[in-house]
Amino acid sequence: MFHRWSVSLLLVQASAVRAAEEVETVSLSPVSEALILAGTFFLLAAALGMLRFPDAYTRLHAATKLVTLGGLGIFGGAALAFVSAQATERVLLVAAFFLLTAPISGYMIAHAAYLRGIRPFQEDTSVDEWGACGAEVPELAGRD
Amino acid sequence: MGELLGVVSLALLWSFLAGGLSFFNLVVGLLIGMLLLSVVARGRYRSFLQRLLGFLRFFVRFLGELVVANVIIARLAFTPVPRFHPHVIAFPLRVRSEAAITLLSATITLLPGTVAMGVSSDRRTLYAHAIGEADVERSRESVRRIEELILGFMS
Repeated sequence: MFHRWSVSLLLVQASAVRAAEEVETVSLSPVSEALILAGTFFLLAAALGMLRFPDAYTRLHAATKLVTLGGLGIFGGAALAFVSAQATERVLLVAAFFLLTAPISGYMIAHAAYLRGIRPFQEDTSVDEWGACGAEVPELAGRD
Repeated sequence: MGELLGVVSLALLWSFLAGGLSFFNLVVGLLIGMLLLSVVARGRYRSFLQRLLGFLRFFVRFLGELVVANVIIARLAFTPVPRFHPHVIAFPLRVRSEAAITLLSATITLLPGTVAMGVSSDRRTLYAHAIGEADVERSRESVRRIEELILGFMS
């Protein structure tokens, strides 16, 4: 890994000299192929989960966890595949933002759904320890 | 906060000396800055290093658990008749600061079985939607383990 970084330092310096409109070259290694394949698998599972899970909350499990790891797999594979270090670091930045935003939107959706009174799907053993479904109507602004 | 400012300004300084702001220069600058500060200002920055180690431990654990969580949910998605064991759990918080609560709720959303749903107005209870465990206590236990790791570098 460190070796890769030191190589990318040289590439950054070199590419600064080169023209701006340079075609991104890609070389697929078995590692990046495996990462992209795994990412695609988790995205497929996410799509299936979105279709098959019974309510908004269980679907959120698919939409947050599966989509994040699926995306990270594909971004990681792409970061390894790009020859240009600039493309690699851009992809890593995108991955970091992905990691940051998915849980926040998941939280917002679950929070809003629950307080608006959308009851979670229940099995016979299910418990609801919050017990405030629909009880609290959120103010329009300035909350949380 | 002071130590963070020191490290960040050293990283910026390094980037400009190394030929301009770039992601890579910043990362190298951060590493060098932390190394410098840990050597030069040993006493003052020891706690900072410890917290950094705590964060790294947390992050490695996080990546591992992320994969586990995904295998569990993916298996549910492919099971013909899945059994979810959905619960809404209340988790008594030990972390106090807003940043730590935010980090904890973001983390458990990506980790096995739980999606954060809300925080009580006195900020002492975190509510989460949990699936995959018949017993509520086991879901709470997995959140507790994450909280333990976060307490290692935040309050």
